[in-house]
Amino acid sequence: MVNRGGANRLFRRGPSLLTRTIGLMILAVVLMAADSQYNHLGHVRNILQTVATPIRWLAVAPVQISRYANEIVTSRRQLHSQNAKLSNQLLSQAIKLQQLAALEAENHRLRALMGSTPKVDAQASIAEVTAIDLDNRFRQRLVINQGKRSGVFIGQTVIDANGIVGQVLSIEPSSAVVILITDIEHAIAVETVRNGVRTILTGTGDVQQLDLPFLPNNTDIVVDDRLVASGLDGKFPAGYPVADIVSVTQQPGLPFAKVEAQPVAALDRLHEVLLLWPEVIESEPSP
Amino acid sequence: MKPTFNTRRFLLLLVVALVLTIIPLPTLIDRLRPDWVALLIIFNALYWPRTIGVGVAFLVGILLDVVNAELFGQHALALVVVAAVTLRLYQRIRMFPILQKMITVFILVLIFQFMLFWVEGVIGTPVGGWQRWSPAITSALIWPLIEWARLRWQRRRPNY
Repeated sequence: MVNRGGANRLFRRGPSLLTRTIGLMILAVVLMAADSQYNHLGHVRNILQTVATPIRWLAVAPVQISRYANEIVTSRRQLHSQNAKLSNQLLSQAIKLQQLAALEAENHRLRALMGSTPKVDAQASIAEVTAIDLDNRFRQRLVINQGKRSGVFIGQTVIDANGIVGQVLSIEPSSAVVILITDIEHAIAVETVRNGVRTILTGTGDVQQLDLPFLPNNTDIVVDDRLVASGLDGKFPAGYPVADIVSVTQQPGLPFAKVEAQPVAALDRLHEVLLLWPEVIESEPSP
Repeated sequence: MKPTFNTRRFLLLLVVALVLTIIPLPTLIDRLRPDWVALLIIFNALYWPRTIGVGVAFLVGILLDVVNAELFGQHALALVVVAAVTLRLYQRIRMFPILQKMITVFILVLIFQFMLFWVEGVIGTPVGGWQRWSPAITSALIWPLIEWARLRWQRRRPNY
């Protein structure tokens, strides 16, 4: 009985496990609230990022090394064939580009004639993907090696050679997190090229699959329809390709059809991406 | 007889666990990826309960949040709960035969995933299905390997 207090003093240090647990749980909840609602933790995050950077670097090192090794051991013949293929591609694209220049000029002239809103043109710069798929099980995100210092901003459109990849979610001084269009939390306003049906395209968490959950059963949409950004969300520039329809299933009992699409960008094989900076082209003031 | 806690080794294992958590893998294998950091915390709380408490679990959780670029405190909350349960029961769990230990680890990782699931539900987009719960199974399956490594390490340096 007498010893009990002494024993307590000897073995018990600080508050009990339960108290500490509950205290830390409350602290964690407060942190989450502060982070999600008020965004007060940007500074702390930046400091902690310096710890995370070498870990990310270590994680992608094997991929980088194998890519580098692959480049080194590419044989002469492979280079030849690749060179030939690329020059062919260049030629065909140069031909298309000639038409594009003419079309663009015509478009500008017509827009100026109509006195309509200025067309938003874009300026692009290349960023390298440093870590693919942060926690790939649930989220579709990746980290690129350009950040605030290169003028990247939150909400910036990210594309690859084929189409829209996603948008910038958060930025740090020299890196940024990109949320892909296939992330379950992502949605983008799109329209079909064939007949201009406007709808919303949402991610599923699967890198090969996108959903169009708000299309009524009688919508005129068929497999292989190309979806492009409509620009109505105010985030993505209009006209960039996003996805192709892969299946349309009418659901007579339900208000909406089940429509699935596949992204046109090679989301699972990204090495480099393009960041778009909107650049407003001056147009003639309307008469 | 028991090996003492080695801070340098713990930090090294922590870095390895974090790297294994974010290392890019093909999609199918990726969904079966064990929760390495949760395993690390369970293991250390089980065998060094005086050193690895809920405080360390909290800090490691914050680090995991940063590395994953997720909401601050999400993994911290989950790891604190897992560590607390482990610390409450460590004397019993240590005595369990390996199969029972694996079942315990399965339940602990399930708690870990459930906490994350719950937080995501509050924020807005929970992801359920088998991909959510499959790490618990793989984590339990990998546990004998961890125990084996511990015994091996212990045998090599019995005097600590």
